Amino acid sequence: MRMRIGIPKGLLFPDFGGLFESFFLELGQDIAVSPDTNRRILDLGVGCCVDEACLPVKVFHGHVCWLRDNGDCDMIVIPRFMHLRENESICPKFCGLPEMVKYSVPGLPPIIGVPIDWSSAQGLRAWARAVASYLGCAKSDAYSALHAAVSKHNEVAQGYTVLSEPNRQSSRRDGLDGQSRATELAAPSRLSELTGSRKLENLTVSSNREFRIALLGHPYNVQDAFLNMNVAQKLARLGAAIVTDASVSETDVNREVASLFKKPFWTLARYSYGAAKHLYRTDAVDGIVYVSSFACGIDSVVVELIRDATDGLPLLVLKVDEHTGEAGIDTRLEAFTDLLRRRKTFGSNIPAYGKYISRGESAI
Amino acid sequence: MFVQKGYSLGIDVGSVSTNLVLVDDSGNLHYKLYLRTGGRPIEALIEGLGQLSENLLPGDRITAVGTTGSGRRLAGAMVNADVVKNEITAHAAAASAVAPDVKTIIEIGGQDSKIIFLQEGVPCDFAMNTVCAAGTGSFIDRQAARLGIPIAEFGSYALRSDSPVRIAGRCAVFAESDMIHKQQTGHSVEDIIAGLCEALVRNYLNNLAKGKRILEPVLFQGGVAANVGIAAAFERLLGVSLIIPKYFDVMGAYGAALLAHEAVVANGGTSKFAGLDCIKQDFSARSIDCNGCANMCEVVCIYSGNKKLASWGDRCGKHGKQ
Repeated sequence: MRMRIGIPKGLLFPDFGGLFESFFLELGQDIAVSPDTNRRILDLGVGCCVDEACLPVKVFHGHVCWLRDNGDCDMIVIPRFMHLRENESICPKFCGLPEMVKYSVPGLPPIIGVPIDWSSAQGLRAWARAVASYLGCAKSDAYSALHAAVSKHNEVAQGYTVLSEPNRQSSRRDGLDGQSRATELAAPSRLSELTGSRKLENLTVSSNREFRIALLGHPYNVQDAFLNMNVAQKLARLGAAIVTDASVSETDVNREVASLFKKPFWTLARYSYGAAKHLYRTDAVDGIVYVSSFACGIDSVVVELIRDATDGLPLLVLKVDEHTGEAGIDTRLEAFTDLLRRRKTFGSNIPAYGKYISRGESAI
Repeated sequence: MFVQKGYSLGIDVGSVSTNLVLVDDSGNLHYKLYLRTGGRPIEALIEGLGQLSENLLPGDRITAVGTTGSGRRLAGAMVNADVVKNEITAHAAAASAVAPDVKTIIEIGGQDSKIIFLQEGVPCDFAMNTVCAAGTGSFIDRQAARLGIPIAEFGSYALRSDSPVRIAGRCAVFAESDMIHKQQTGHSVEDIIAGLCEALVRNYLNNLAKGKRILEPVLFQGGVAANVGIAAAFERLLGVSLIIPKYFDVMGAYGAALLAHEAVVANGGTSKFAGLDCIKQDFSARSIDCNGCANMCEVVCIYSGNKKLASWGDRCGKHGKQ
């Protein structure tokens, strides 16, 4: 029986949504994807989600509500991501997401909440098998659908790629060699290609930019232009070229995190930290803007680690929450770019306190 | 005999106060005006410009205009400003004009508080309070009103205290209930107010200055710098002495004037200023809920009579096009 599967465009969708889409299509099902986050979706999510959750989780709830109301779905996928890399974790909210949504959003069709272990091809096959049996499809169909979806995903993915060989290593950013690509400002965002969602790289191609800013944070905060109040575009308008963590290769990230006092636990934080440190050490950016959702426990640690590792590099932490007034964000971004501009005018590479730089007359 | 004098006009439309200053080409402040915004920025600015024009001599000219503060775009549209600048850049410019070797600026205004670090006169880092307003002027305003003490005397109460009580400063709501507990158990108003000043300073330092080195000279500016209790608490907790500039309450406007002067000179010397007669226009702000897409942006349009001067608030930018 052909069913219509709803896929919410929230949280890690930019990374994996494309794979889900092709998987279900290959399996002979129909799909419905919610639109890019907008005000209505945010309101729907805030209205039903538990109050303590972070903004991206609320937004995800909103996408599910939208699919319930408009998607005409027989089932909705709420991905239960367990691991993205071996022996690492992501925020525990991902493991409990299906339950969280189920008990907060009334009137839902059946949910596909099968656990996904992205860290091995084996884990992915187990997911496909379980989904197929839930849908009443044959195991062999599931495998071939998965195979096709994964090949397609890897063709276009800038993000998490899946190795068809079960060599236990999920390598991200396929096709990048060990060299830093941060100096190429047209760094493609690792997420957008799959989905045709907003493309950050369009903002970064102009060669004639005054300064380069690393835009870091959990991908769902960085990539969702509604949730982060369009920070990428705002920065571009203020004269910045934008680099995301996708421009730093896996090898470089590995090298940077190796010097941490213990092995990093959180996969997404690992990339933010590794990218920040690498971009700082290779002098590839003039500043960092970190988008953090209010009350994110992981961010509270990562921001401090980044601050420590990038001594003297201007760092702006933007907290996003439900408020829709953009004035606060505008003020901070404007002040931050002013600061970078002044630093450039009065001498680049100012170390932390201690050394003097040459200076014109008065600073004003 | 009148000598023709050119002044840069700085306008800071904040949540609590609207400030105007006139600054000459050498950076000297000639006139300052501090008005309460009272929730009506358009009226406050018109009132301010009216008072300002009465104080101008016949030969005086305004050669540059800059606006800052949370109402900077509104004010910028009304007077057609040369420069519309954020508060951080404006405060930093003002502070380094007053004290060229300043290293740290503590600025506490009505609804936001900030800390700015400078190296050799160049801002190198800043932090601003997040969504919460617990460490800002409006919180003190509210507590003063609750205790029935005029805001101008609030700080001096704190100075009369021998043993400040411990007040939770993390959240304005908790602080208020904490204060009520303390007051009901018999602590003196002076001790409670001193405790509140310390709580506010602690909150400020925890939120904004965490892990940062506060190097001297430290300037304390913004409306809250008038509060001697807060200043004393800062000095006690930081172990440094604060410099409170003479015009601490209008530093944002002063910085906007300096930046406007700089910009006009850089652009060849002609200001875009609409003239002081602009206050005779019938300004109005109208907000519309745009229904063009699901974002439903709240768009604000500023009109003079029926003519739209500016608009903002839309994500796509289509309303901004004239």
